[in-house]
Amino acid sequence: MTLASVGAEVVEHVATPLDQLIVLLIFVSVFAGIIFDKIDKAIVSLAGGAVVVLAGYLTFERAIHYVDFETIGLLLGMMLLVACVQEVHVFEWIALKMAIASRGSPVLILVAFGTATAVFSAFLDNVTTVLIMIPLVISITRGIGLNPVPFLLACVFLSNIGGAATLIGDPPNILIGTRVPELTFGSFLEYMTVPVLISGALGLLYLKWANRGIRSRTRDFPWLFASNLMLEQIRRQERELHVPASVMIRAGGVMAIVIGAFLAHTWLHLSVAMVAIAGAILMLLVFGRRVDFHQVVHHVEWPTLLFFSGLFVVVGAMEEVGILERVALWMVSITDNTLVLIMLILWGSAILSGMVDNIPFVAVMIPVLQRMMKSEPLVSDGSSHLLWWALVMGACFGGNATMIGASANVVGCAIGRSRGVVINFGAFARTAIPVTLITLIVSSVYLGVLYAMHASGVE
Amino acid sequence: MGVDKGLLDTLNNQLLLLDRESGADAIAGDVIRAIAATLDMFAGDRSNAAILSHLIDLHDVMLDMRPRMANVISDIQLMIVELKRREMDPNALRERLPRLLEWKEERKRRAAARVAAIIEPDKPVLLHSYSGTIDTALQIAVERGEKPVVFVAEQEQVRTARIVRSLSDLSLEFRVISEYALSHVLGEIGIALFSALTLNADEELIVAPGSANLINLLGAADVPTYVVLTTNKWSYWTDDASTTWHEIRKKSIAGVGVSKDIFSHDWVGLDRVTALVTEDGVLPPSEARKAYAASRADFAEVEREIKQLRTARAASMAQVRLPDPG
Repeated sequence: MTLASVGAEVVEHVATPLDQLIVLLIFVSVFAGIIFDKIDKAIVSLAGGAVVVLAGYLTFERAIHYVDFETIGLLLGMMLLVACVQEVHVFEWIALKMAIASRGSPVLILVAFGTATAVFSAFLDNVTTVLIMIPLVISITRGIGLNPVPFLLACVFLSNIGGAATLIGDPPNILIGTRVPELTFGSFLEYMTVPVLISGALGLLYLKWANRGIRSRTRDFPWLFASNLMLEQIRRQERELHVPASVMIRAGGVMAIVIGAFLAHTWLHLSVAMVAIAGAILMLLVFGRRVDFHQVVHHVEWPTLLFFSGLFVVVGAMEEVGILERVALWMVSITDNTLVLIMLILWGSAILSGMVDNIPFVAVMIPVLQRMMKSEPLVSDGSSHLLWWALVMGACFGGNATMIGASANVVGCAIGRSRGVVINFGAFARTAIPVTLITLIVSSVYLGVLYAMHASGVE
Repeated sequence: MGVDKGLLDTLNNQLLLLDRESGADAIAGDVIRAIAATLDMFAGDRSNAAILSHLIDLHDVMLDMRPRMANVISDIQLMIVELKRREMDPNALRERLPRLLEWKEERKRRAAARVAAIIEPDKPVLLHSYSGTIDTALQIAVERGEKPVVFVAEQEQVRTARIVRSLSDLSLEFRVISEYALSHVLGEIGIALFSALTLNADEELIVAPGSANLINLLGAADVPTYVVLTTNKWSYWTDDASTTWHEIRKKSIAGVGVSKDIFSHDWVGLDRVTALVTEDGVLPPSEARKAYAASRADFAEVEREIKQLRTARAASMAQVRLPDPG
């Protein structure tokens, strides 16, 4: 192996086992850095990317080649879009309206906020959704003397479940959807709506069952009064938010156009990144006089975009030296039964996503699955596309299992802690693991049914 | 019956937050609307005796709150007395509650008119904590074509923000000055308007944090200082209950762990103000004392009635618990 200087032409070489080991170690170091979270994960991934270039495993040009600007563009566009809508308080208004509609009923609060979180998460990023919902949920439940914990957890779990429904709902979906051309916005809706709806409903039922204190108060005069007093304050907050109907109509209109464009992007010959960026620009034009553009830009999570960039470079290096090829061949060698592979991917992804950040894991699995699908017997198996859905479900649903399994979990618990609602790792897991198992069982049955339908020629 | 501590803490926190964010005027209205909604939704025993019992419990919880919200307690006392004296059923009480709200609004409007009468266009007004009544008074002044300059003594952001939003909506010219540096503009202030939570039996006006210092400062500089306080907010209890909510919190200042005393409200003596502005007039301290003494008798009568009801309820529950001698 020759050491190429940064920016120089690549010198063709065959990667040796030592090269593969070194690159693997770099990746494992990046992974460990992300897990232990001593320094910002963006710095860790950028450092990993810099090391693989400086060590000569990639030239600068090849490194840029591996940075998926489709993913970066989609993330940037959605962040700008959401930030603009947040600046005009549309989401806050919707959340307050829901709180009013719940009439202070603990059961309705659980269902309304859980459902709204899932729906928002399908179209916004999960972190933004929990940032909007959880402070209000804590305020309302505390205000009526309820323990906020089950409601906070409902928001966290439903954000991960709902986010699995669309291409833009969850970072793993964004990664998969932008890098696998055959998975469109429409196909995400087609394949994910059913498991998301069933998992969400069963998840809420479980939370209600596990928390007996969440029950109607209509026979408890003093606590009913406390709920109604809280509602008066929420009504006042909603009135004072001053969100005119014209703002709601404009924001809703632009969102409808953006979602329509996502659904039709293949026919329109537009990339999803272009749809997102154009949608953000349209939203900014519509609200240009009402929002401070610099404030909108301030809301963009630039560290997240840099994190993805560094990660792409590190994973690219793993591809370049042939590590991912070996992983793909190994996985195909385990079994030639597609259904077994589907379940392995589903449960394996879920377990790993629960333990570690699912984004680097998914970033590695995408090229691995792409290689697997080019090899026998999968290349001739028409149901092999179900492996992608297994990865989506495993990565998204598995993220619910632990406090660190997904960004929404970390952020949700941090918001709770800042407001005096402390949930430790064990308490989180006690509720999270049953919910995760429910979603994975639903996913297993669903994928099994799809496989069987395909095998019998029905799909 | 003992007070439910969880309910007490929940309601106390709610009302403190409401006072902080929306001012004392908002509290009573919200409580009445909440009771109305509760009467609508309550699916338990709706007999006169049962609802009476629940309202007595609510009344006792409110008594245990700190600070005591005298206007809220007096409204609940009114409901209890109406239920008992008129042998009303809860639906009839529910129908009367909008009238109670209208009566409170009328009282507030009368007080606002009194405040508006002392506002002059060439006398800059100082405001500190938000008051719906003062806000209404400024609206009246603006409608008259008078637009005084307003100084806003800045304090906790949520309270100052409310005043600023209101002044901005009225298109009034205003300046924001830190409450800690008001001495620099004392000579420019024409009158100062404050709101208060209550006037208690020790002749203490319970006011927003920081207001007491400003009132003392303004008094020393002979700036006319008025506190807007309708008579339904006056409290007459003579027990030694503390006047405000108090908590000790641990925090770190300059890396040193300290214990900090946090009080929800401040207090200032009645004699420190130029006058109280009520719905009945602008009362200097001597007149306010007379009015206070005159209204004490009504309060005592209501307290007696509620005490009798409480005793009767306790006796009735004791009878229910007695074993059958047969």
